[in-house]
Amino acid sequence: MREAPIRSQSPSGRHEPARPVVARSPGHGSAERAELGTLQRTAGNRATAALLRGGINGAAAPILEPLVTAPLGPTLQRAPIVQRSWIGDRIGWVRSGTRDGNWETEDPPGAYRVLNGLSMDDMVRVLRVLTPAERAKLAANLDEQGGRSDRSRIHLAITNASTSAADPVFRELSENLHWAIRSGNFTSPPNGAFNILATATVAQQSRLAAALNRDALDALIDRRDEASAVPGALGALTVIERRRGTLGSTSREQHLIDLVEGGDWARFFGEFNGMQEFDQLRFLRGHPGVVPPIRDNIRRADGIGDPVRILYLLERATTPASRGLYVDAMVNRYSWQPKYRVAHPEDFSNIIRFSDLADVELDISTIGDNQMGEEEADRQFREAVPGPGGFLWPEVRNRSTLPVLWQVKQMVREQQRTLLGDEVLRQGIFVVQYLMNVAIPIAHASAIKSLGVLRGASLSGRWMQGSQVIKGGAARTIISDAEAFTQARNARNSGVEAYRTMPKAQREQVATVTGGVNVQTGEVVSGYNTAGRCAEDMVVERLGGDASKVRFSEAVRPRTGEQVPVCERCQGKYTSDQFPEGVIFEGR
Amino acid sequence: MPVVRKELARLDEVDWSSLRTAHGTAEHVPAALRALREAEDTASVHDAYWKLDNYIVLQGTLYESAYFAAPYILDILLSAQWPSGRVGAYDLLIEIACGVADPGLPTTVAGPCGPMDLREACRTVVASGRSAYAADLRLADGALRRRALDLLTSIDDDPKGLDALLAGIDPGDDEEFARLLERARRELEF
Repeated sequence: MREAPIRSQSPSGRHEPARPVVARSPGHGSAERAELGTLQRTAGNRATAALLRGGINGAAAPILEPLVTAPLGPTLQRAPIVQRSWIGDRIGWVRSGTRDGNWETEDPPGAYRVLNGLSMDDMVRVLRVLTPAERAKLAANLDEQGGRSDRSRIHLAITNASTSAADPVFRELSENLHWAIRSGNFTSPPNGAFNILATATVAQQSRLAAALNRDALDALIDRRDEASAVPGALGALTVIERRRGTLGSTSREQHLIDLVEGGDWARFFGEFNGMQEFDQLRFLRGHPGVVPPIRDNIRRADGIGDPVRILYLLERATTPASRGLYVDAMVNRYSWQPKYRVAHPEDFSNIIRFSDLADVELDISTIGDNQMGEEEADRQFREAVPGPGGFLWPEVRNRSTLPVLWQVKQMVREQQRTLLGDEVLRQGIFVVQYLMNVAIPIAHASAIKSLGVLRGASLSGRWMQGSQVIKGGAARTIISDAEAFTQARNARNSGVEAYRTMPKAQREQVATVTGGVNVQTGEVVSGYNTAGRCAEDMVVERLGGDASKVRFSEAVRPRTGEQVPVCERCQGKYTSDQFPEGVIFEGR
Repeated sequence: MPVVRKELARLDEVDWSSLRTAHGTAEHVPAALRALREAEDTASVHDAYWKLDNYIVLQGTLYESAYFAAPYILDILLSAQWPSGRVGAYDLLIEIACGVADPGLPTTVAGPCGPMDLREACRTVVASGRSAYAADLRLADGALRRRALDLLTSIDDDPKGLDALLAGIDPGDDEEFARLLERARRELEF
């Protein structure tokens, strides 16, 4: 089994061996004591005790009882050694820390502080000795009191210590999963986190979900877009999400929610500002409902916290972890209105706007045309800091550090040069805007780790008046409902075709297939049921965005080809006009 | 193992109002079961069927009422006079056999000997009708024999025995059934 790369430490934070405690006896030579002490320091108490008892391969020393050496050699025979065991000390510290509610102090050693310094094996050994009530208390306080410890690792150890020792398979599986999450391996077979989850049985998935704490569950949910690349992983992710949903809020989080709901922004931003970034992100990710009101009231953070940094946290919390927050990588649509905020009627605007969540304005003349060395540009990329819109910005903004935005600038300049006399003007210059879409040549969900990828981005632009394209070849018009239903049916039929090629075990899990289109983006997908969720839910999830903009096909049972009526739950979530005419709505 | 079936006359043995479906309690389930049992045509079967499917099992997710309804559905399969009613019963049993518990709800049910895993409990009931499904493989009715094959392969806890059974089945002129039979045997081999 793998172990998280954390060195064992003493509660004081120093890496040190267990301290030997040697009882002195009259007439005992100092040389002999030194010999024994050296042996204990180098080989450890337990090895020394084992040696004294009859060899390293002999039975292990008892954990809790003081060790009393058995007679062996003429020298050591006379040395009665009474000592505490290394593991016994830690059991005692964890037990007393748990009893006293002492969690992370250095002296006396807090329970989590001690556990945090142990290997997974030792942690499980210590925890197995505790009573179920003691383990339950440790688990119950971990999220609230263990902020400076590796909570996900301790949570896993508590879970595994509470399961049968005769279940090493599950323990290995759960530790592999924990390691995969910790090491950022989500999709590489066979030990990527989603690969492990997808190949686990449903019962194992539930147990694995229970072995993960909020942070680990959030990490998986945060990588949702990568899960879709692993067959079966989206179904497993449903189990993960349901588990996360059952954990609820910590008392501190609930307090913050109360402040948001009560509109007490001064206190909210004051307390939020005092939290560790890890906990700030956990709060935002675990409670997405608070993000819009915080964003709407971000100006109230002035003088209390840094609004830009809070915006950055909001973006991070709502952006899949597989995507960076570097502005050039994040933004995929820019708009420009020729007369927006111009000082003189004959001028053209230099302002471009972007981001759906926080409308960001940028003067394109602030992006320099100069270039810099690749090494320096990459340094700017790596060291980018939160800026407008909560995105990460380089200190120097130019063609090298912002290759996409520099292209945007060129496109706007080109439009400014050709605009006068253009047919666009005839459409009414105050109501038109030029939209620029960015296409980044990178595989789905891969992280952008260098500027090289961004330099390969291409842009397409078009003039829009409302939702109508006035000019520009690459535009995607908003599709009619009739067309949407046709496309949704095509997607559904593709899903049914895919079903027919699935292996038996997968086919049996698919009871319903449907298709859907987002009429605002034109994106088309198919979806199928997963545990506890309907096929319609997968379609909405895959499309993202506003669920009310989705048009569904009739759902079918791929085994029989029969239409599956829209269930009562989906009727509550989606309106009837999101389904084609003639679809069957179930009702008792 | 004896067939776990219950006649509809014993529907009152279950407190349906205390059982969960996908959309509330299972109070309407007895009436739906009776309607399925009495349905004489495809339209009536369809109506009765979709008052059970989408409730006791919803798009592959099992609810606890499925376990309690399964013996009655099995009885309908074994006693219905009309093929369309039997097709409906088969489709329900297949959905139940392939279903999984909702991970957000309790996944155990009260079985005769204590709490049981919902999925396993349902599969046990469905599997108890194996010999009846095997007999249906030899029917001339293509819709029924295809479903019998689907159900038998869904509860393949005895792959060798099932392979031997399927080896002795003659698909006749039913090309679709022959294709499904061949695929089932290939997958059993795999």
